[in-house]
Amino acid sequence: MENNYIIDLKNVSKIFDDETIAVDDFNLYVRKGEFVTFLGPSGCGKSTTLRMIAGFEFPSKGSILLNGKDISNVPPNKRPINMVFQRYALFPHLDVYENIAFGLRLKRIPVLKTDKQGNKVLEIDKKKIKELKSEYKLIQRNKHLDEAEKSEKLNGLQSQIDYLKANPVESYNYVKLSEKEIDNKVARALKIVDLEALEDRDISTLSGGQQQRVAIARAIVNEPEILLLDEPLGALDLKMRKEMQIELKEMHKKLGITFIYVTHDQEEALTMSDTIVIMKDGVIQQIGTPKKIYDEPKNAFVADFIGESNIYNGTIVGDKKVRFLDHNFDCEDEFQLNEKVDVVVRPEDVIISEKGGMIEGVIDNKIFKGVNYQYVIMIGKNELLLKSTKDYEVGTKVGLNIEPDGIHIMKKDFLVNIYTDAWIDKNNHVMIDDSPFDCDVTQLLAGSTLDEEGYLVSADKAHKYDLKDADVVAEIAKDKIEIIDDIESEEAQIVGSIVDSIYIGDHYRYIVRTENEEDFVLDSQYSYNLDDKVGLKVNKEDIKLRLKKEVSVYEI
Amino acid sequence: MKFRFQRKFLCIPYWLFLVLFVVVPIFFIVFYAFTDGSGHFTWDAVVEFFTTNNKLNVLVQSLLFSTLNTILCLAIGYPISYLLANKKYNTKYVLVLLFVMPMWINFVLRTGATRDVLSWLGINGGTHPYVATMIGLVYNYLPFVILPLYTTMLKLDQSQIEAASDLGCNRIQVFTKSIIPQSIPGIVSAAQMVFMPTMSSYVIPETLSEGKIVLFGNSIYLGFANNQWNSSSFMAIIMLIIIGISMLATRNFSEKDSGKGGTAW
Ligand SMILES: Nc1ncnc2c1ncn2[C@@H]1O[C@H](COP(=O)(O)OP(=O)(O)O)[C@@H](O)[C@H]1O
Ligand SMILES: [Mg+2]
Repeated sequence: MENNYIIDLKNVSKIFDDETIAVDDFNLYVRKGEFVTFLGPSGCGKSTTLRMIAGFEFPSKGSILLNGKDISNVPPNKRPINMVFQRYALFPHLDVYENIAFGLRLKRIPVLKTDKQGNKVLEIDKKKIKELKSEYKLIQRNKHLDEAEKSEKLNGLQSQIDYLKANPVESYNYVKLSEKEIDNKVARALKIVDLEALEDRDISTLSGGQQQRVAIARAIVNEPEILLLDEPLGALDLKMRKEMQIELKEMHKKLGITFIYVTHDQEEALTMSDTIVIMKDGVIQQIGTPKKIYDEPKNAFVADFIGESNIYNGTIVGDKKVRFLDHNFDCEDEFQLNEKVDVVVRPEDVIISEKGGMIEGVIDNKIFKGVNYQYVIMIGKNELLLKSTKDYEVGTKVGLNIEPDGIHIMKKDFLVNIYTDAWIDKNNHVMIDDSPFDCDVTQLLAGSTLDEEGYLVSADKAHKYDLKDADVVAEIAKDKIEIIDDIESEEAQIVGSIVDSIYIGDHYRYIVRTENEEDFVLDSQYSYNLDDKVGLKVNKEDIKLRLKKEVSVYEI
Repeated sequence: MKFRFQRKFLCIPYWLFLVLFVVVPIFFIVFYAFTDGSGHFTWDAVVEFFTTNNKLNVLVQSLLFSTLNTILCLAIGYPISYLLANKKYNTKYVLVLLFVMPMWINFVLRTGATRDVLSWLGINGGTHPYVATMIGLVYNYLPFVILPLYTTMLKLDQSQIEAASDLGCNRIQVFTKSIIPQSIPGIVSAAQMVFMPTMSSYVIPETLSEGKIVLFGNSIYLGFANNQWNSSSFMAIIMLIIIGISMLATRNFSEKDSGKGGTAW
């Protein structure tokens, strides 16, 4: 085998009902024995990916290789992979012992056929012949092969069949595991999950934590090559969760099985995994070790999702120099001059001192966090979060320093909202997502004006245009959209709910999604909660329009 | 003393109902079962029931019909409910209604129609009383099986089904090892909906066998109609005992079911 990847997902996509793209072009390989975690907010496609590996869903595109063999369409019972379900999915009609023995009772192991003297019995391999014959028929019916290729393949198959018919081979009986073997394996599994005393108990009499352990035992007892865990600790309380995290990690070391773990809890991911895969909206954002992802987040989303961080708007002002918080900092990454970037600074990378520093701020808030203090410092109107063991009073003026390796610079992921299927209605409003926005249509033709009837008149008054139903592309900068709290008010031109929010230094970046699934990305000073319903307002002059067709099409 | 309303008074209407419509009738049945026409105590009905073949035969025949009807209804209703509850095969509730609708058509009318259809098909009550009755019974009780089974199937835990296949079950094993065990409560309540009502059914055998087949309910009715209060009351007691036994036997299952939340009734 050319590599030691136990599982390899190649361009895997999953589309539900022809519209929901749950997983989008997923590429990932996992090494034998690795502990990989899929991390992302709820609904980002973690479970769907896991379920494709388990075999409960089949990929819409791409392929899944197990030890180099394509298993994309193999049913779950034929995969050497077991899963621990989110809500355990234990069998309530069976006791603890029988739940764990469930997989073992179904198992059939091949045993070499021998006669009474212990000699191997040779038999014709009928099963293989049958497989070859059905393949033969498939090729025979295949219309896409040309004749020469076809007959070559058919001859090849035929000679294989003839060979098998003439040459008996060692054959196998498929036998059940004996009660004794099952007993031993179940006992071992119970020991691993620390439940030896409970084997006769009914499932309904177990606590959540105990059920969790049974679910794990039921999976590992089959000695799978890969163990899948879908938010297995989600239903446990905090203390129990911490304990189980440690135990699972130990189990992983002891068993040497590859673990693929799903969670939306970043701390869980950071403490347990060898590799973290961060996902958002079905797309992988970053793959890396916990340290690498923490220290070098690839974009603002990852930085925000993993650990606490300060995120600012910055501008590249020179060779390895970036400006944010009104100061030019040295940094380690090279970007184009004047490029707008997101800057991420981890709270522990800011060095605080009373003697002054690169920038100055005032302590606004202080919380003791067991080992250190967490301060919120106001620098002008920007906030900065920092952690330090030193004790300062609230209101103290402090200096702050940030070393170049503490400054992480990322390409800005978004500047303007672009709506490519907007159109002009009869009142010269632009229709975005079926809502009318007041706009200035005269920008579509330089120097033009509107006459009393609402027709566009060219600068030299020679041409007149009716823009009704004209298709346009509309652009709205994300800092030009205003949130209106009262969704009933006249000012709210369109209503949607907040589906995403990231705090960026001195403001929030929200994504507001309308009922028709149109997204508006915008910046705001004010804090809103996810799922809040808000109205949006855009000033007339802030909507940039571009006609899709020549303006002459609309001449009258 | 001043009257003070207490919460326990709220159950007075319930107790009244219970006494009037349950306790008193049962008392009368017991009373008639052990008294003769002039009100003197007698064992006559007991002796008659257990010594004459006639009544025992009716009981055995009724038990056989009930058992067979229950089995047939489950065998037909189970796969139908499974398909109806599966979104892959059925996305419309209308189909479910279609199967359950006959329940709401007047029972006597429906049975009359069944008789006509059957005799048109050549399964005449006069010549094939057993077949005709059986078909009529299955047709009549099928909806009572489909409804509880359908509600159970809707509640099937998909992740348990997936877990079964994850642990090595092929499609058939998933069915026998996960789906059937999960639907046991539905099967039990479906059986309850069929078994006892079949024993006491009167119109169906009467109409479809043209009076050739007499089930237990039938025979009780005939007794009362002929003023045999004593022996009929005793048969009613036998019936009550059988109901009691079947309720006790299935109690465990229904308790589990009620814990899982309401049904569609
Ligand atoms: N069987 C399904 N049919 C339709 N949409 C689905 C199905 N399963 C998941 N989805 C959708 O796919 C997306 C990803 O879901 P999921 O993988 O469960 O996310 P996660 O586990 O990360 O919370 C969601 O938008 C979800 O609604
Ligand atoms: Mg999930």
